[in-house]
Amino acid sequence: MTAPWAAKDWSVTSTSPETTGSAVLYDGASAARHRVIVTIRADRLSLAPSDERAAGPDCPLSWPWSGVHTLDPRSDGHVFSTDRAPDARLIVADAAIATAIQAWATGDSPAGHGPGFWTRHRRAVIAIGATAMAFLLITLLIKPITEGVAALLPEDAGAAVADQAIQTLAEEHRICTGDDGLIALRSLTNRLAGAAGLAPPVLTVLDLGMANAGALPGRRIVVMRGLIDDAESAAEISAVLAHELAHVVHRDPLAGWIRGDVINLLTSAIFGASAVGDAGQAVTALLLDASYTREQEARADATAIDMLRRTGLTADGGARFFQRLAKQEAVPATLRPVVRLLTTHPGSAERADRFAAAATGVESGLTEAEWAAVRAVCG
Amino acid sequence: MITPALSARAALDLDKIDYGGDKPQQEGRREIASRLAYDRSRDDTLIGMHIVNVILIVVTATLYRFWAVTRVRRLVWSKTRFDGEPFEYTGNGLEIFLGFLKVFAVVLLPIGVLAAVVDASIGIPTTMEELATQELYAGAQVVVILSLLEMGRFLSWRYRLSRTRWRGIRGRIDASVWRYAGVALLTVAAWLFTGTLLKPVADAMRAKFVLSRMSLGTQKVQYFGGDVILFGRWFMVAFLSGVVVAIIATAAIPSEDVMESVMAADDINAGEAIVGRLVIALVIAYVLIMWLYFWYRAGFWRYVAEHTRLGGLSFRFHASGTQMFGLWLGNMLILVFSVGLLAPLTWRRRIEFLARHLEVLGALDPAMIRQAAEDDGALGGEGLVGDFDIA
Repeated sequence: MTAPWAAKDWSVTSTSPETTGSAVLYDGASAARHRVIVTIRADRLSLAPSDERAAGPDCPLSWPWSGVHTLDPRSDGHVFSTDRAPDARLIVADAAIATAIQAWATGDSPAGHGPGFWTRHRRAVIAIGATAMAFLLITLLIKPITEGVAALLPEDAGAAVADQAIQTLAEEHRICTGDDGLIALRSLTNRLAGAAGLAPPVLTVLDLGMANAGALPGRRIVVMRGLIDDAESAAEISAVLAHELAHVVHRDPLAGWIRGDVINLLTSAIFGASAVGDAGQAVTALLLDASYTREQEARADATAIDMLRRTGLTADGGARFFQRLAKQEAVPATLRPVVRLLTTHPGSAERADRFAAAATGVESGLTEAEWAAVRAVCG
Repeated sequence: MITPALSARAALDLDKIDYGGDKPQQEGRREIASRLAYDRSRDDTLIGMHIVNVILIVVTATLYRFWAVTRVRRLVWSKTRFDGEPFEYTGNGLEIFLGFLKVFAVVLLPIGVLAAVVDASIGIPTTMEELATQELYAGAQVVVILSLLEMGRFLSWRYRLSRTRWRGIRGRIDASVWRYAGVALLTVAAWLFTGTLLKPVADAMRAKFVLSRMSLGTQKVQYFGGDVILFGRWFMVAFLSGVVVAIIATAAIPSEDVMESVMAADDINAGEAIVGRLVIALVIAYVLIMWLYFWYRAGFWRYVAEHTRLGGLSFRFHASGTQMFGLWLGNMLILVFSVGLLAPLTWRRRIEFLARHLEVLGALDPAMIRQAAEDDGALGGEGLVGDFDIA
């Protein structure tokens, strides 16, 4: 099959100063190979079949320079194409002719084909940059957004999942059931919660040696036996409970969980579901979370002190609790800034000072008898 | 059987590009088989490119992987020739990247959100119904995700073929991924619910689905294979694998008495020796099972090759299971000892292996192979598959 324009082009005979040479053309219409003579003219590249008896190529044979572009070279020659026939491939083995064509060709190479780092990688750089910007933006906005979402959700949101988590812990570690101790702890918790305008929280004591307590979504408070064992007075328990309730006031646990989910989604969007991704995800999540929680802890301490003041309870317990913690985690002075950067909680000494400076009340929160019952809550 | 020397000479002959038109195929030349060839000349460039890619992938938190794979494919394709003509790869990184983002937004995100909602709304199941709902959802999730990965493989084949040209003509697989979903589901079900026993059926269905919809331009691939093939061979593989596991486990796992005495004596050295022996046993069992598996694999590819035609071309695959196993083992060792940096050598070994063992008979009439319309469906990239699955 011969296209009409081919006939016209054949009649153009090359004038002497113009460079000519032989090349191979695949016209993009069929897989047939066409032997052609190429002629470099001032305004275009002209092709003409060199074997007039064979079927001619089925593509335009006049390639204006503005549309000619260079593709990746092959081992047997340089490759050119044209906007007029994007599927066509012209293979030029003669290096001198190829260089001449390259010098004349001014067409835009398809992305990733042109010379120079920027031309070859423009789109990659833009796409990676845009993704990095989006990631950065979300990193900056994630805190206000998750906190806003958590505040909009009902107070009970996440309670089911929290209960599931507590249940999982309870499979390994017994839930303590000392009645008198639980009644005393719950009335103390309710009193503090009432001062902050919270509905009564759900309190669980776990038979676990760790000196810790925590707040979970849905007003769930978990106290571990180790905290009660280590406490020197009931006032320490009051202060720690006030601190955990303060987290509930600010909906920190729910916001934290939402943030965790968002971070998971984000990192899997970037890394994909690969093994490399898991490692990257863990590191990103750790770095993102550390700084937020430090702020949250300081805010919770302030709210806790306020709660203690309203209920007329002493903040000395908090001071003693954190002083003891500070001794345990004593670090050489030079390392302190590094530790502060990596830990989620503000320095314990700093927090002890904050509680010590707060003039709140004098009560410890529990009577002697109640305190004894609390100490026996896990039997 | 084609000797490497013969096929290498054939490749050399074909490397000499003559600038004449297509010559009619000479009778004698039809018997020279391997017309697929790999040009080693720019392998150092390829290895350098791969190492730069690895660095860029690390620096960009893996985001560069879409462009990395594109650069590598462009070079590898151009080094691979059929009948003296190199392949051309025309894909670009951005379209794979956008395809990946699309799958993330349309598929992964909804599944993740749904999972969170189901979890949060049920919490700890208190009734049998809730328990059943949860289990059912968890099971469905596994099936759906595995099917999606299988569909991703199909998307990847279709995309790569649509971006591959030979003599300027595009390849294509003319089927939507949703039509492939049934095959994907069966493949997953064959693995999950039949203890892999139906694997040959799933493999045959997949080959049939893909090959019978494949074409080079307007020239369609014809596939004559059946649905139920190689059952006996697969059954033997499964049975012998069981035997291997039984023998090695008997040899490597110490008796209870020995275990108890070691535990009682708190003998760390004896404990370490037991663990060491178990690790070695595991490696031996794995390697032996892979050897058995490649016996099936070789039979499968022989069957597929013999039942495939492209225009006037027919195919024979001559590799034995042991040869395929050797290729796999060699590539594993290269990857392990070079920490992945010499991966290009494994791609080369794979392509050269195919060139050595795939006999192509008959002739194509290039003038009859016309360009088909652009495959718009393949514009979506490779779905979830954005990895280094080069060749």
